[in-house]
Amino acid sequence: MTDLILFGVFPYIAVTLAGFGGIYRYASDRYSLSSQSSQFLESRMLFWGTVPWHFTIILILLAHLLALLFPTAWGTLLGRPLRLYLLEISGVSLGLVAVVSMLVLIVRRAINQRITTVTTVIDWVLLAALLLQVATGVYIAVTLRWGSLWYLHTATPWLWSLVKLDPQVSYMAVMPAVVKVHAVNAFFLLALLPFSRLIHMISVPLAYMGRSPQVVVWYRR
Amino acid sequence: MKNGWLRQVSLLLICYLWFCFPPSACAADLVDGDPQRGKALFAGTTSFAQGGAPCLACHGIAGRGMGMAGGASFGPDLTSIFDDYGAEGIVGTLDDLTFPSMEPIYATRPLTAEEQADVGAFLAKTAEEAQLPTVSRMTGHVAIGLAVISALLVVFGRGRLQGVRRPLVLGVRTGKGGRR
Amino acid sequence: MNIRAQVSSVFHLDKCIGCHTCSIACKNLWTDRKGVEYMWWNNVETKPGTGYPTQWENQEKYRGGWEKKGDRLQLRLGGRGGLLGNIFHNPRLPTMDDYYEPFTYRYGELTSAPAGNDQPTARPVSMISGRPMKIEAGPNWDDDLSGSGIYAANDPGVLQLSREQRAQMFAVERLVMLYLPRICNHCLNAACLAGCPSGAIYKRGEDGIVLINQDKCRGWRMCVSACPYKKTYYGWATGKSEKCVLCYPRLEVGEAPACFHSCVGRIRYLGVLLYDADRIEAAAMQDDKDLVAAQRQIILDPFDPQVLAAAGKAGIAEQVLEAAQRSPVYLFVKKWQIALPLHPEFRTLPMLFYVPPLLPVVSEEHLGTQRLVDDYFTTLENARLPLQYLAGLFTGGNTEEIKAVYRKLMAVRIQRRRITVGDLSESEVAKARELGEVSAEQIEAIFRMTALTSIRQRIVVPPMLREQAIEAGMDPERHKQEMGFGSRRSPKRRW
Repeated sequence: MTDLILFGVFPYIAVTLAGFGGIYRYASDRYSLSSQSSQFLESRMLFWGTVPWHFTIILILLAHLLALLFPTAWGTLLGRPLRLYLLEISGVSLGLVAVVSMLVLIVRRAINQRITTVTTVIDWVLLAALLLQVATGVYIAVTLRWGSLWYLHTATPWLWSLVKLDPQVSYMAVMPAVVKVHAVNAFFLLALLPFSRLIHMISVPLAYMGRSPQVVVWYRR
Repeated sequence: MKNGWLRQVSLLLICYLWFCFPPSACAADLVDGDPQRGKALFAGTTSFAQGGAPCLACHGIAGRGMGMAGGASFGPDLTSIFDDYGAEGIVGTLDDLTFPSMEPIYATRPLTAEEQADVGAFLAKTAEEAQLPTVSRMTGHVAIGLAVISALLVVFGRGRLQGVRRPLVLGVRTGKGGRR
Repeated sequence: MNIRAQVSSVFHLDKCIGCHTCSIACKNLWTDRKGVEYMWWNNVETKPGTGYPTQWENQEKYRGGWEKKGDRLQLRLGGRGGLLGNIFHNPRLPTMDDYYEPFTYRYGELTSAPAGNDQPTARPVSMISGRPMKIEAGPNWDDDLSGSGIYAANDPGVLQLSREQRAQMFAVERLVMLYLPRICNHCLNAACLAGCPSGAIYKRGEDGIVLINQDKCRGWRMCVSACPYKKTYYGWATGKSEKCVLCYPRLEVGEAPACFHSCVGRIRYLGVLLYDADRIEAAAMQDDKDLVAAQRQIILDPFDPQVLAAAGKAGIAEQVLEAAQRSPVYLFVKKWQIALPLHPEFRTLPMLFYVPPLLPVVSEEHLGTQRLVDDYFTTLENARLPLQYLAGLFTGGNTEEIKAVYRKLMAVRIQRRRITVGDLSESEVAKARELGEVSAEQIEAIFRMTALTSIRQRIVVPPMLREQAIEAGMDPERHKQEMGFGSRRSPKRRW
């Protein structure tokens, strides 16, 4: 029953919250669709937190996403033991860097007086959830090898079953507790997206690459 | 519409045949199995026909060209499983794979008879092999990865603006920087 | 030809007394909120001095403005790809320590302190954390500190001078300074705009005012780094960048911007300039020394019938063209050519121009007393403010350009002196006019515009024609409600 709630019901709640919350925030408060940068208040320590964090977490998220969207190709890629091993080692390294950089970000927020004043409760919830997520991720990668391969046959079918509105809870029900925590926390983070600074994920300014360097706006044209 | 109907009937037919003549491997087949193909199936180089997970996703195995990747640790190590289970045991196990954590994966995607034979033959050979790759070597490799990432970070972080006013004022006051 | 109109300004530095009334007017109107305390959209700097933020002119450090890369211009901050690659941590962002940490005092402790032997004191506390702090810097921290070994000596403009010139500037009896009021230049080739990843910054087509759309700004802070004048600021409490808006809500109702209106020395002139937008990039591509002339060239004559016809075709309203003909900025910049842009070598084509100060009067020591030198022009090179220093500020290092301006300004003084004091001969005045390449009538016009103008002559606000933004059939009352003055929501983060 718990498993059904955690892996069959909660994901839908999280997606609904993320979707409707996101739309509401976009429509009603576009002013706040960003992460409130604190680099102006403290820049040096931030570099050692934010830069490794973002680059590693983007690569790790990308791997999760590719294994979800293109399971066959992913399986072929990992079909050679050497490639599998290289990917796993890279993944663990990236994950460890992500954990350390998240710790840097948390410590920075806790000890710098200027930054504590611009930190809200939801920021702490988010940081804690992110730390839990990367820490469990690294723990899984290290102790339950090789996650990149079994993910394809457990998490991928489970997530697709959610997409097809026919949740197959059994895939996750048999998993060790740490994997369950990782999965549930992932959806918790998704639910948090519109209610925290995580919303800045949707403001990636890719359009910048294509726009004209000067922008002139007319009101009579 | 017509096609869909046809497909459903043929699927039903296949299922029916499946239940009538369930494929199974006997001990004799193990000898016939191709250990080379078994290895490819084990590592996932060749996918299982029904789409089941390659054994290497969770099970460790020594040597046999797996290299460091043989150190999987989710499930038990299968290097010498053949010694423990024997031919009979292997056959029975590979046929249904009813371990709690494996059941959701293989219940609907079992190994075909040929695949069971090949994997069995492979496991029969690995039983003669030596030890698992050690975790300490993996730690070393992760350390190399960390070193590479750190080096990239240091390079990326060079030449960033590190504050102007404080160094200037303090520099002049302590006589170390600025100009009079 | 693609003619556009730009509301631009001239600051006459000879008249600035450094009273900071403009800064206070601006602060009271725009930046008295939490998170923007440190923002001075208008500030007055003492030159030589390090300015605000410290050494903002040093682009080796801050990497603001543009640089030539082969046959095109690129932000000194880097190409687009590099800029996006640095989006998680801005490599060239000045931090609060390069401005100052805003502070206040615990005034209550003056009255609530228990009786004791010591005088009660009001401790300074940070306006960010609220905790007691040591004040290291503040607004105008180097105000009037010419001669300071910390501030004046580290003015980037001073550092590029020769050792002799520096020694000359810092000799006690020759100490010199000038005030440099600065607001956003509303550049034609704005670097802040080009650097904004979100595309939130834009230039208004009708009047050229550069604004940041607060709902589109995502706080990447690239504008702060890209602007070579450091005139966009990051609001630490809201996570948005903000900058001078040239008081456009005031302009739209025909009022002068607050800093212009409050200027005690009446140094500020405002008016419309017409320019050719097609030639912006070509003008910004010139060599450092030719930038002033190139910028002057793309500014067009509002009396030229061809220009007027083309402007009409480009949709510039007749009332605006008429305002352009009355523009004092056109006279200073194009006709008399005595107003220069600040740091044209940043290649943003700033549209705020400065008449350089004729300070101090060139004098020489004679028998222990200072007296005016007899020949202004041969001594210009020995002026207290080295010409190289002024050329570094206003002409991209071109001393000939700055000399030409000074010759005109001196001709004005000499002719006026003959009229009011009468101790100079007509031949001396004629010589000054000839050297300055300026006619007697022009001198009178410059004199009148400098000294004897009313606010309507100094500040010619063109009709902004906002009423034309309303489409036919739209309820004006409702439209006013939606588009009118101010934000309907307070600029505050609630998530």
